[in-house]
Amino acid sequence: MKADGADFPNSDDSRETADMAWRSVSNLTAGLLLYGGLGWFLGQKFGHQNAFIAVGSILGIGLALYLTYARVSAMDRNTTTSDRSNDQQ
Amino acid sequence: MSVVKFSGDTSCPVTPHLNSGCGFPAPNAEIFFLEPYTTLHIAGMDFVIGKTSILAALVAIIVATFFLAASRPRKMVPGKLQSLGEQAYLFVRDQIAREVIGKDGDRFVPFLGSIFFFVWISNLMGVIPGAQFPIMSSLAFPVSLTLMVYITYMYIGMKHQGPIKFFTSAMFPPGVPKAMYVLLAPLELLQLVVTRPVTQAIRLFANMFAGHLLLTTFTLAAYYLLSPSIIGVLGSVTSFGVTVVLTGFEMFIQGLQAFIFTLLTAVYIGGSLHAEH
Repeated sequence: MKADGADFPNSDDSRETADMAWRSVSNLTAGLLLYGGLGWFLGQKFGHQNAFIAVGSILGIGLALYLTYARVSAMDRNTTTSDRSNDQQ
Repeated sequence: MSVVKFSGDTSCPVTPHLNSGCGFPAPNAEIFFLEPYTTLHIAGMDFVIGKTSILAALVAIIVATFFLAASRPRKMVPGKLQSLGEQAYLFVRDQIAREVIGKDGDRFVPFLGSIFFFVWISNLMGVIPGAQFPIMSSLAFPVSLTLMVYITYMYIGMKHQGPIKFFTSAMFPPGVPKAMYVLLAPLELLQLVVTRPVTQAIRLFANMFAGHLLLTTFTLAAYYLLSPSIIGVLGSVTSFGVTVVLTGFEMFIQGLQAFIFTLLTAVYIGGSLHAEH
């Protein structure tokens, strides 16, 4: 097969970038559902439903944002490392 | 001044006009529930034959016929149809499969290509005169497609990475303090199993739903306002102009959403083949 490098661009990078962009939406939904839902459940048990749902939802969104931030940072580190190793070659 | 009747008033026609004294019939979700032509009872199940299912079958036939016709008499010097078919194939192979999945991408081109062209032509039915109903605005269609995609990448992931590693590699992302895993692992699991397919289906459905609703609103307004008065002419012409512009915009969105749906399919298949690192 001819020039593999040209035919197959760095698919890991482009996949991770595309995945990251769309993943943040489903992460936010998951965070809201999971921790908002947990808040609702705790509210059912112990009362103060509104407060529990509010705290749960904010926690869920916060965690989802943190996750996105952590993943992007990890991706950045990988890219920088691979750039550096390319420069050295 | 005469009292404007509510458009839901039984004395009002289905598509009333300004002069009829009926209010503007703002379209709602009802326009997506089309009357079935007939219902077949096969093996205790009801199969509804309506505009949507006939259009979907038609789209499947169009896409299949095009690719069969383009690939049947394969020649070294391609004719117009064959080179169009090759362009279509190469677009999916180079822009989606190889770009996102990499070397293993080629064997998924038939799957990705079928999805892309089926979704794209289904969406296009929203602006083709006579059809004018985007099939993907019926939630069942994006959901069925997403289920196919979901089963595919779940199976590939568990086969290539092993059932446990497939889930753990998604649940424990790198670059996060270990203590955070308690809170983040369930979130990632829910993301992988539930919200990822749900958002993929809803993204396509909602875009087509909203686009069709918008086009219907302005088309109806162009007819409703048309009357020999300044406000009537201005309003009607503006609504008609907006309809034309929105139709062009909608065609762009239809292609874009088909591309995004296929791209995400490739991203998920690629993620299942190669564990995160």
